Amino acid sequence: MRLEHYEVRFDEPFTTFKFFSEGPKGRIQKLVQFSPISAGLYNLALGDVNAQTGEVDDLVVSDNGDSEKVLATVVEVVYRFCDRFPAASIYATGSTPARTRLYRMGINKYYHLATGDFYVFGQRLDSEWEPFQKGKDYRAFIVTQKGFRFGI
Amino acid sequence: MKEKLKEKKTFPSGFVLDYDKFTHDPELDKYDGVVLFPKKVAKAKEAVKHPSFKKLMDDLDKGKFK
Repeated sequence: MRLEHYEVRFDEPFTTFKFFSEGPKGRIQKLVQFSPISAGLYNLALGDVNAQTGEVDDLVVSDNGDSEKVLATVVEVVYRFCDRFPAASIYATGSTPARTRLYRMGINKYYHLATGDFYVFGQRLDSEWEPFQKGKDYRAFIVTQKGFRFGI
Repeated sequence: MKEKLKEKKTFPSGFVLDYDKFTHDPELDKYDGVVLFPKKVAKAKEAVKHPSFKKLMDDLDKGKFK
């Protein structure tokens, strides 16, 4: 299965990725960054680069009519990152509750991929972590590629 | 003759990763060690302090999830 996505550029430590969203609002540069939280655990964040100031903003609403393609590109980046760092676990949450819901919808949409290749966990609204369940509301997510963690 | 690099990889789910859609951009190397989203990283560090997270990772390492 192939997803329609944007071409991606990366840095040499392989933790920051760049692509351009293209739509009615023009060409918007986006950055995805994986930052270490603890050993083997990384935070995934996505933001827009302000063309005037160069600052990175993860609260701006691009509204560029290509959210599906942007989501698919982030999925590609997650796969590529995990291909390089197979034992990594990735934490993700939205900058706003609406964006977290968008991530949840994304996991639901690509559920067959997500659960075929990754263990997926969700942090419930009461902060407890559990295996991800479709249709349930979560405040954050963690994915870990199957078959690469110690003991598995 | 230079060895041809692998172009794609198919994962168990059937997902196909195209390596040629990813290119190194030296300009991005300036972000090495730079945390672009510090608030989100701080939030993530808090989220994984919950005791249920440690239990989940322990269970994962013991192979309790299929």
